[in-house]
Formats: sequence, structure tokens, C-alpha cells
Amino acid sequence: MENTVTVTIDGITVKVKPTATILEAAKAAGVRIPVLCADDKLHPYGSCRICIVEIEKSPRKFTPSCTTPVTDNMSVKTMTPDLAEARKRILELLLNNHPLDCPICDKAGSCQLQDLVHEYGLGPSKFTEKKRTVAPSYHSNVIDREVSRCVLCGKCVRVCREQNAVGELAFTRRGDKSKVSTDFDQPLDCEFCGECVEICPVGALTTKQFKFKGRTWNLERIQSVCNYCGCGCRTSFETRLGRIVRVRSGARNYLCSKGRFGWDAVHHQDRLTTPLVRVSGELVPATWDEALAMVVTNLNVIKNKKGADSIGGLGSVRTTNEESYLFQKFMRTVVGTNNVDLLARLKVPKGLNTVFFSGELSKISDHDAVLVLDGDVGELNPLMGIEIVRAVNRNYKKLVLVNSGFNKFNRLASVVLDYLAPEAALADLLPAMKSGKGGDRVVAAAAILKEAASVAVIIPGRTTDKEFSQIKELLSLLKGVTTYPIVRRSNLQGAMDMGVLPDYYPGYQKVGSDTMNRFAGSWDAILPEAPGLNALEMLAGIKTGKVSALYIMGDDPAGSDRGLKDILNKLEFLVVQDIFLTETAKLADVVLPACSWAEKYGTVTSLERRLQQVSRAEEPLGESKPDWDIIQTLARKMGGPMHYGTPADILNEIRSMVPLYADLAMGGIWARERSPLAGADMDLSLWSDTVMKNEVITADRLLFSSGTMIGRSREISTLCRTKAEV
Amino acid sequence: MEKMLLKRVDIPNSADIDVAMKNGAYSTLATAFGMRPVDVVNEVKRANLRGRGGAGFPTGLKWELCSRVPGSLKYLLCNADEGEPGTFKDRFILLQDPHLLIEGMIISGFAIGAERGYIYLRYEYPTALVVLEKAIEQAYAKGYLGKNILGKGVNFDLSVHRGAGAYICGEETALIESLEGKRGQPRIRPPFPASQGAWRKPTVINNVETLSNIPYLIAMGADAYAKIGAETAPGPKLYGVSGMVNKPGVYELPMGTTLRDIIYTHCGGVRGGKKLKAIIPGGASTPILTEQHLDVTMDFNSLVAAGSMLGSGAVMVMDETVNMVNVAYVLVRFFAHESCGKCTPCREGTSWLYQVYKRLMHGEGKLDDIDLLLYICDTVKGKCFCPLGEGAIQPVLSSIKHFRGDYEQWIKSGKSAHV
Repeated sequence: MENTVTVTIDGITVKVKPTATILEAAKAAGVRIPVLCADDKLHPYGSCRICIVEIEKSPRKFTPSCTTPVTDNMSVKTMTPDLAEARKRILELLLNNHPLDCPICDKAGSCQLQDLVHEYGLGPSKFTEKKRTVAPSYHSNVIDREVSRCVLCGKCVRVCREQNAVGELAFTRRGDKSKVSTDFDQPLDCEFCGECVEICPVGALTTKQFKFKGRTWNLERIQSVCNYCGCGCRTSFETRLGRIVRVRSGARNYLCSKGRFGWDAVHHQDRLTTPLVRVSGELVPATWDEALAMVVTNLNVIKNKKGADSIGGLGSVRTTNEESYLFQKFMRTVVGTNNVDLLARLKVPKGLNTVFFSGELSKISDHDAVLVLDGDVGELNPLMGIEIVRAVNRNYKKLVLVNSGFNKFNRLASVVLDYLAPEAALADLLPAMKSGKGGDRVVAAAAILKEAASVAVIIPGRTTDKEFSQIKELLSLLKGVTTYPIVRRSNLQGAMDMGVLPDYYPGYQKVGSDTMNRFAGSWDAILPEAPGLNALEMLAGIKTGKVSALYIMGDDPAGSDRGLKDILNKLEFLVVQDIFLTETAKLADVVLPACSWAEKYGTVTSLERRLQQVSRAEEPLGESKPDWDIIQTLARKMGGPMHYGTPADILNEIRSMVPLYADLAMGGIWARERSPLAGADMDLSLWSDTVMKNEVITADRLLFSSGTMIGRSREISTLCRTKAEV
Repeated sequence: MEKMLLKRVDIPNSADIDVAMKNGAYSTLATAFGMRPVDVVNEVKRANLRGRGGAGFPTGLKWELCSRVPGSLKYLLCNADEGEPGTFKDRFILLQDPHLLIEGMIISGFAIGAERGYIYLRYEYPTALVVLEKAIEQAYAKGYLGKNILGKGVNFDLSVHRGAGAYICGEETALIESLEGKRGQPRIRPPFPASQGAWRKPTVINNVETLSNIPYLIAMGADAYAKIGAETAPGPKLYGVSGMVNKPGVYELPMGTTLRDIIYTHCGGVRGGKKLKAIIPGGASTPILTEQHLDVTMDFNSLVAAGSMLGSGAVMVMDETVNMVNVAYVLVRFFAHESCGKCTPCREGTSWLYQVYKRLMHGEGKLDDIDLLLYICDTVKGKCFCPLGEGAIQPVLSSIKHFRGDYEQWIKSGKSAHV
């Protein structure tokens, strides 16, 4: 075999790449070498010296396996009496100044130092001097620092720089006075992703959120998916006595601040625990029967008086696929209208699901070059940002960045195109691509892009018509393009796939007589023939009296745009289903308490179009119910036949109705070619010059900025400062 | 032997370019430029010049490795971070004959294909900074630096980068990190600097003395040069002798001069006619020798055979009045202070050694502590990231090996020294 070398590890012979380290070769051979400072995420560093091995015929007695590349026919021993003794000695050195306060350390039980000392069985130490204690020299609201426990492996420093490109942490001083701190010991001022905590092998860095909440061996772990953006990071809910105490990263091994710390919103005191109904102008608690009866009566009255099309439904980008599917099915089959849509379509990249389909995030770093058209990508889709950093820092790929401001990507970029909007940047870049003429920077950018055999293009979350056509033109000039549209809303993809659209049934099947008959047959219902009103048309329809009632599930239009309050007030009847008493819910005639994503089962579809399982970690709070259960109860009361025992039953129906999901495995991605709209030069987004145009300007970063959920996270709120709306 | 490296140092105002030129500076440039770069490299290889910084790596081989790496952007770094305790030979050249170094760097840069050079100067040499910067300015004015030197199409730019006061930055990869503006910590090797050094470009790092040998080596030719001094490491060598001798100073002698010659012939013997007790032959990190080693020749191989190292050739001489526990304490304190803190054995080991020595010096030692010191050295040995930790245990090991009696006597006496 070419381009491999043969290495023997403890008698096991493997073939590995010539660039592999001994540690990697050992992994390939299935041999475990103990490590402290090495991590797959990071470049080799070689500081802890635990991973030393013996190489046959080497002049050196011990060789660090994490930093030493293999050579052909190398023979390595990973465990000899000498090595055991040597590792024991290193551990003794590490323990010399370690406080050994394991009983009060949150890391105990999952501490690599503890495990290694246990494994190598240290006796009494020969160290009789006074232990060194180090006080934390920098402040943080969310991260607890016990610097004396630090083994100075540098993983936190390196993950912050190599993976996140933030570089907030660094070593200061030297020798035995070395410690990890911030620049000039200033309070921690970073992305607060908590990756440093996650990667710390000991208890030097822990979270304040988890402090004294439980011992790691007493925690139950429930695999789920983060609900804060479209990246769909896998998470692990860690619960103690049925209550979440910590969230950690799952399979993809990364979480941002919201994903790691923002879950506490589900424990917020403002959570709705009972249904509310409006009685003489006031919202008062009611039973489910009372509340649902009020919904049924009002919807039926309006339907009989003004027709089904006077009722509209606004779906959610936070609910599960099953719930989105059921919501549009409810509107279409029970209410009898196609007036069902997502207001979030106002914040969707133009061309998403038609022209632009996302590639796999983990493959961004495989491209020769990355073109980022929106410098805020790291704040909007943090994992996408991490993968871009990885492309540069780990795979040494080139980055072309369009950014009007300055952030971490500026430091990574080969070329920065400093334009106020992508439109202006593209107006210069396109001619440079074609003729090679233009300013130095665009010419340099064009040269990189033209030379690259593959380019990952990060598409802004919102583009003008002009930019949309410019981007399409640019893509036609590049080789091996993969697009990555920024999708901030967590289950936007799933909601669109599920047909929460006025003119498409689930699976992007256009509303028409053929499809209508097919769906009517399967759903055993009479379906409206004409496409419905989109979200903007519904809002306009309220003003003209065309729309009299709205059913809003898991969205807060009035919270995003105060101007919509007056419009929603004009409705005859408004029902809002949410987990908090949002600005919109405050206007409602009936408020139905839903439970959070941590309290229900279901599936979501990430921006990669990856189907993933959401799992219940806690019992529903108070009387709150999962959205799918509320919808089907309501449907039954209105005479619609909905009888699902679990979300899995709904998923089975989805699989039978939506070809894209028919054989989609959990964790799998549906292939873009299979969408009926793939390649169509059209746009599924909405555009309004008035609705939701007021932007919330915060002094904080988009990463911590508030929404319905994150605004109620105590932990994240400690990171935020001020907010102003214009 | 006729002086080469120190030929101009005694001439008044020798750091001035006109004075230096009158005495032969820059005269070898034309010879070198008349050769192909590969021939210059081969000449240095043939002369078997070995690096004078301490490790004794063959200079020609280092150059060859670098010059073979494809790519046009390469760097030549001069290691002037002369931080090894006891060493002061490079300072002599930097202060008295900077143009020798500059000339050597121009030729070296030409040979390896580097058009950019840096002199990484230790922070504690402020005067040398002034001298070097003036010398570089003068060399630019005369056209020896910059574009198209001597009209031969050779380009070489040179500047001084001042360190920030860390011993570890004398280690070549830590030096590169520091030069790049990062924390001074050694890098993983491989890749070696010759293929990926400063800013990940091919880089050669040579000691001041090594580079200063180049003009003479090229001028006299490899054959003549190889005839000087020891066969395994020819050429002149600067020995910086300090301590209890009558005439301490920097001596240029053929590589392989015996310690006896250095101390008794050139330095006038031990001060006050006292008895010689111990010799550190090559700077703080080289094992201590005793009077029984006086006939060892001072070159790389002979000293290794004698259980020590040539290091930087910084000979420190101690007489019978010296307490070797104190010597080891002072040296260990230095290494504990200078450990960069990156790897466990060096960071924790040097710190532990220092604390034990502190106890000994305070009169709180026990006889068991001698074995404890050896235990700590054994813990550190062979596991460190870079040579610093390995060097740090040498004074301990060698002082206990040769002067265990000093330890026992000191501990039993219960005396306390003011440290």
C-alpha cells in the first residue's frame, strides 16, 4: 500500500499515514495510551509527558507518543515496568501541588488525573514541602476557576485559540508560577462557550451553574438536540432526581454559550403552568377543558360566519417536526384552510431549499477555500463558525471574508473584504473574478477563489434581490461549490419540510388538484383547493377584516415587532400556544401552556437537513403539554380524527406522506436532489419593508442576544448588559 | 595560534565599520559571492564546522537541509540570546566586532538562500543592542546589507530582535516562538526549523560564534580550516573562563585545548594559589568536573566521554573554599526560575529541587534529602520536552557524584547559609 507506513504497537501491526503520531497509530491498533494534554480537537502539544512510550532501538529511553511521528517499521511498547514507574513519577509531580480536594470537586468521578492516579496506584508522596496554592486572578460569572487544581496541560488555552479563534485564555508567568489567565487578568470576556470547561481534564474549570448540584456518577444522561439555532448540535441533558442540572455536548463535541448554559430558561419562573382564558379583559387560569372549549367554540363560530379562510395559523420554528406536521394538518383538515405559514420566513436566506442547500458542516474544513459572505456567522450559527476556524487553524485552508466590522474571523482570513454590505463586496468581486481587474484585495480574493478546487460558501441569513442574483452568478464561477446558508432558527428546516407553508404540502409538494386529492385521501379529509395566505398576507388580512382569527403556536410576533400588537388586537379571536406568557400571548383570548423541548419527545431537522431525535429529560411542568398533544386534543374536540399515542406514531405518518423522510434514518441527511424544488430558481422566503424591520440593537453580541427563550436564561443574562430597540 | 575570531577586538573603535574594513571586514564577501551557494554550503560541510551554541550540530548539514527545502522565503536567525550562566563569549564579538557577525550572516544567508536575517539578542545586552544597530546601519550605508550587495544581485536584510529576558528563548524553537511574538516556549520537533521554522518557513538558526567563523572559513578554505584544533570538531573556539582563576576572560584557542592548558597556561592558574576543586566546563547545564579531569581536551566528543559536555565553552573554575551544595543550589534556583513551565517534569521537578535545596541551605536538611534529590532527578530525567529540564538536573547529579562529602558535611553541621 502506498503512502502508509507499518508500525508495531505492543505487538499489533498497523498501517497508518506517514504523518500519523505514535498516539494515533496506537489508537488505530486499539491500544490505549494514557494522556492528559492531548485531545483530538487540538494540535499535539506534548506538555504532560504521561503519554511516553518506548521505541525499540531508539537512543532515547522515553518518547512522547502524542508529538512523535511514526516511522516505517517502528516498534513501540506502550507499557513496560519502566514506563509504569515513569508515569507514576509524573503523576506524583502533578499531585505535589494538587489540592486533592476531590470530595468537593465537581470533576470528581470524571477527572482524568483522578482516574490515572487510581490506575497507576500511587503510594505516599515523597513531597513534604508546602503545597502551592493559586487564587484565580480573573473574574467570570459563569465559569468557576480553582486554579490550584490546574495541571497546566494548556487544553483550555489551546481550544480557545485553535478551535474557537478567540484566544481569551493564555499562560501567564512561567515555571512553577505558570498559570492560565486572561490578558492582564481582566474579567473573562469571550464567547462563553464553556469549551474550556468541557476540555479541562481536572476540576480547574467548572461551571457555576453546576456547582454542588450533583456527583457525576449520580447523573442520568439523556441524549437530545440543542434548540437554539439551526446547527442542531447534539446535547446531553444531565439530570439528577428528574431535574436537569447540566447540559454537555453530545456527538459533535461542541456547544456554544446558549447550548451549554441557556437551558435554564426551561426552569424560569415565568413558565406557563396552566391554560389561561380572557375573562372580562383579564387573562385568568382555566382548566384544559375550559380553555379548549373556548377555542373550539370561537373557531367554529368564526368558521361558520366568515368561512375557514378567515382563520390563519402561524407555526413555529422551535417545535418538533411532528408538531409542525400536526399543526398544518390541523389547519388544513380540521379548520379547512391553507392559511398556515411561518413568520420566520421573513428571516430565511433567499433561495433556501431551492437554490441553496446546506452541505454538511463537518465538511467545511475539507474545502480548499471558504468564502464567508456574512461576518456574523460565528454568532448566528456558532458551530458553522467553529468549522470555519477549523478549516483555517487545523487544515490550513484559505478564508475569504466579507465583513464590515472586525471579529475573530478577520484574524484568520487570507483576505478581508471590508464592505458595508455583501452587495457592494460582490459588485467588486464579480468583475475581479471575470477579468482579474479591481482593487488589490478583491483581486487577491478572486485569485484564491479561482485557484481553489472546492469552495465552501457561507450564504448570509438575509439577502437582497440583488445579492441573491449576485451570489448565484458568483457560484457559477467557482469550482466544487458547497453552500452553507445561515439558518438561525432552530427547526426552521423541519417546519418547512413539514409543509407549514400556505402553498406547499409536506415535502414541498405544491398545493394543486393532484396533490390535494392525494393528501385528502390519505388524511381522510376534505381539503381546501386554493393556496392559502402567507404570513404577511394574513397580517394584512387582519387589517382588512379578511382574517378574523389566528392560532399561533410557539411564536411571538408582537415580541419581535411591537407594531404588530395593534394589528393582532384587531382580531376577533387569538389563541396562542407557548411556554411563556410572551408579548403575543398577553394579547390572546386563550393561552395554551406548551412544554419545553426538554420535556418532550420528537424529531427536529437541522440546517444540514439532518433528522435528529429530541428526548424528554424532565416531566412537563405543571399542566403544560407537548404541542402535538394539545393539537390532537383540540382536533378531536373539533371533530378531526387525530389519535396518536406518541410522536413516533406521527413520524410514521410523516414517513408515509413525505418522500424525503420515507427512509430517512435518525441522524441521516435527506439528499437535496430528492426535493421537488431542488434547483428551481425560486425563493421561499418572505420580504417585507415594514413587518419585523425594527431591529433590536444590543450592546451585547448576537451570541447572547435575547429571544423568547434566551431572554429568560439566568445564566446567559449574566453575560448581557444593555438593550435598546430602535 | 593566530587569532581569527578575536583578531580585531583589541583595535580601538573596532566596532566602527571603517576601522573594521581597514582590518579585513567584508573582504570575504566577494570570494563567497564568486562561488555558487551550494559550494559555500559544501565548503562549510567539508570543514566540519560544528555549532558553537552548545549542541555541536554540524553547521553545514543544517544549512544543507534548509537550502534543499523548496521555496524562496527563508530565514536566517542568529542566536544571540547568550543566557547560559557563565557564558559571555558572544557578547565579546557583539560588542567589539559586530561586523564579523554581520559578514558571516550575509555569507550564510547567501549560502542557504535566505534574504532576511534576524539577530535575536538577549534582553540583558542593552549595550550590544546599540552597537549592533549602529553596525547594521553602517553596513546598510556601505551597501553590504540591502538589495544587490556588491552589485552581485545578492539581497540580505538584517535587523535586531530583542528578547524579553527568558533563558528558554536560547532554545531555538522557543526563540522562534518569541521572535514571532508568542510566549517563549519550545515547539514540537519535527518539523525542524530547517523545514518549518520562523513563520513556518525554512529557517536556519546559528550561534553568534558559529556565524562569526564563516568569513574566515570561506576565506581560508575548508582544508586549511579543518587543520585547526580537534579533528572531530575543527576550528577556533572561544572559551569564556570565569571564577577563581587569576586571569578570567574570553580566550580564543584551538578547539580541543586541555582544561589544564586553559586554566594554568592561559588563565594563570587558580587564584591565590589555592587548590582546584571543581570545574564546570561548558555553562550551568553541563555536569561538573574535578581536577582529575584537567587533561580532558575541550571539544564535543572528549567532554562527552568524560561525562560532561562542551556546551558553550563557558569554563567556571572553583577552588577548595567553595561549598558545592551552595553551587548546586544557586544553579538549581536559576533553572527553577527559568523553566518555562510547559512540561510537567521540568516545571514541577526544578521547583521541587529548588525547595529541597532551600531547606538544605537553611540548615533544615536531612541526610535522606541527598537520596531525595537523586530521586527527583531520576523523575525528571529523560522525560522533558526540551533540554532545559535535562540540564537542570546536571549540577545536582554531578555535584552529588563528585562531592557527596560536601553534602553530608553541610547537613551534619546544621549550619544555615543566608540565601
